[in-house]
Amino acid sequence: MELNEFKDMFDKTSNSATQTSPDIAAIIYLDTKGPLATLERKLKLSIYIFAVVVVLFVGNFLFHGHRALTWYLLYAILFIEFIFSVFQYGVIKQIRSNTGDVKHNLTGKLNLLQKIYQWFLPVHEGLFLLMAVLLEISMYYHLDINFEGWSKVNPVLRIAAYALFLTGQYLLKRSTLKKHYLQYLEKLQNLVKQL
Amino acid sequence: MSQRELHSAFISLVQQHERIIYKMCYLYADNADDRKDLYQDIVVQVWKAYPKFRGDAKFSTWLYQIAINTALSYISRNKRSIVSFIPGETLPEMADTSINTEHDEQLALLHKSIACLNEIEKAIVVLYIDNKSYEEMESIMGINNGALRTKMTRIKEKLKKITKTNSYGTE
Repeated sequence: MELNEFKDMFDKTSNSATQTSPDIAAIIYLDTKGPLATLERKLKLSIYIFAVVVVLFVGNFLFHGHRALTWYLLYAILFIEFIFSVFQYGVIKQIRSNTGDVKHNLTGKLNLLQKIYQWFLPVHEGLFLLMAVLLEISMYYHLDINFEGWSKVNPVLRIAAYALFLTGQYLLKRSTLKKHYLQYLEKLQNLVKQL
Repeated sequence: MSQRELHSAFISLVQQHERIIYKMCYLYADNADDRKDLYQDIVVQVWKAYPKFRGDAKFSTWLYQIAINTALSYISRNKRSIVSFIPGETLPEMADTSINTEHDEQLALLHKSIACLNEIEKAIVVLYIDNKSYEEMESIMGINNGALRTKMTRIKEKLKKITKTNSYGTE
C-alpha cells in the first residue's frame, strides 16, 4: 500500500477514536507527574530550603558574630549546593521548554546536556578541592580553634580523608547526573542522528 | 487581553486543533495511561508557551512544533522504546463498529508500519499525511525542504517494504 492511500485512513483513525475530551481548563493548572516535572519540583524545593538555611546562617553570623572558619566553610558548602541547585533548576527548565522547530529544540537540548556532562563534575569537584586547600591553609595559620584537633592528625591521613571525601562526592554526583540526565542525553543523541 | 480572555481563547483554540494532539498521542504513546499523560503534557506545554505566541505562524504549525517536541521529550524520559502496536493486537480505544473488517486490517497495518519507523520519521509522516506543505513541514521540523523531500522518498520506500513484510506476516 502506498503512503498516499494512508492519508484518509489516518484521518479516520484519529477522528474515529472514541476519546472523550479531557477538561483542558483543569489540565493546564496541573503539572504532569513525569520525572522531569518531579525533578523540577524537587529542585525548586531544595532552592527554597537552601535559601532559608543561608538566611539563618547569615542571621546567626550577624547577631552572634561567629567568626570561626567552620562557619565560613559550612556557609560555602551550602552556597555551592544552592548554586548548583539553581543551575540544575535552570537546566531542567530549558530541557522542558518545547517551543521552536524540532531540529533547533533537540540540538539545543543536546548541546546543553553535553556541556553539563563536561563541566558539572569538574567544577563541583574543583570547588570542594579548593575548600580542602583553604582548610589546610587556615590550619597552618591557626585561624580556627575548632580545627586544632584535626591539624594534629597525620597529614597523610588527612590527605587520605580528603581524597575519600572527594571520591565519595564525585561518585555521588556522577550517579545523580547519570540518573537525571544520561537517559535523556543518549536518547537525544539518537534523535539528533535521525535528523 | 485579560487573563480570562486569554484562557478562553486558548481553550477554544486547543479544542479546535485537538486532533493534532491526539495524533501525537496515538503515535508516540502505546497505552491509554501514557496517552493521557502525553496529552496532558502537550496541553500544559502549549499553555505555558501560549502568551509568547505572536501569530506569525499558523496556530496549527506552532502547535505541531510543541506537540512533536513534547512527544520526543516524552519518549526521551520513558526508557522503553515505543512500539505502538503488536501484530494481531486490536487497536485500543480506536474501535469503530462502522468500519469494516478489511478497513480495520488496513488500519492496523498502517499503524504497525508507522510504528516501525524511527521517531523523526514518524513525525514527518504525520505531517505529510496531514497534508502539510513542505514549507510548513520545514518550519515545524527545522529540516530544509530538500532534505525533507529526500527523507520523504526514503520513508515511502521504507513503508512500502514494511507494509509488504507485515502483510505477508499476517496472511
